Amino acid sequence: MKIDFNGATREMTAEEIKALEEENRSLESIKQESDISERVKRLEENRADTNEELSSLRKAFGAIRETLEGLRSLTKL
Amino acid sequence: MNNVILASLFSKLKRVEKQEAKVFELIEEITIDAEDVATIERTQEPDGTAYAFEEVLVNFEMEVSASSSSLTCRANNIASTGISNLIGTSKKYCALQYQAYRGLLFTSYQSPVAEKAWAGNVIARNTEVLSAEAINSLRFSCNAPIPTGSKITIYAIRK
Repeated sequence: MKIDFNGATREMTAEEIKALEEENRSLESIKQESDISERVKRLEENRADTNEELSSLRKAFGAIRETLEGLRSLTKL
Repeated sequence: MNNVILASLFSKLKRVEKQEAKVFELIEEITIDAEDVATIERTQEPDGTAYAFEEVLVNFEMEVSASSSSLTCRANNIASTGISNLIGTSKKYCALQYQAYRGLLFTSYQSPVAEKAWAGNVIARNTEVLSAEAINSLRFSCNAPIPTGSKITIYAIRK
């Protein structure tokens, strides 16, 4: 592989190629960590949304139960 | 009294002129015309002037490749930034910015997009590096050859 240094192109030395590969491996690892962090963040956001929805459903259920109990007490009269 | 007012106006005009002089200049448009070039490094302008910039803007226009590759970008051999999937099976555009400000070096870039437009997320990555008074070098490297015909355009504001 070649390097263009200030307009002059030459073959890269074995050391330069090795350093390049190491650099890319290191950045790939950072990218993977970043991807995992992003996924965890999204999962946590989804969990928060699900909890909120669950809370709304519980409130709605509670309201329905109250209404049913009210109706039952009316039918007993 | 009039002389005092005139002197004050001239002083303000000089300050405005000085501020207006700070604009981006086209430093170099690099076209990859050789095969197997994986790294581009610059420490000087085409006329031999050593790099000494307070701000740099790099536009990438990457031609098509058989597989996807990322580009590692460095300023002053530090502040390493990896731009993922800048090279791929479709033409990609991207912009990268470096700022040397009060001894710190700031990096931000736009995630690669399919059209030449300032669209997509801007990913700001602040890198605190002491004694980065100016941007003295740029290096772009890939773990595979950069497709021929790709262009890297460098704009800068001089220190």
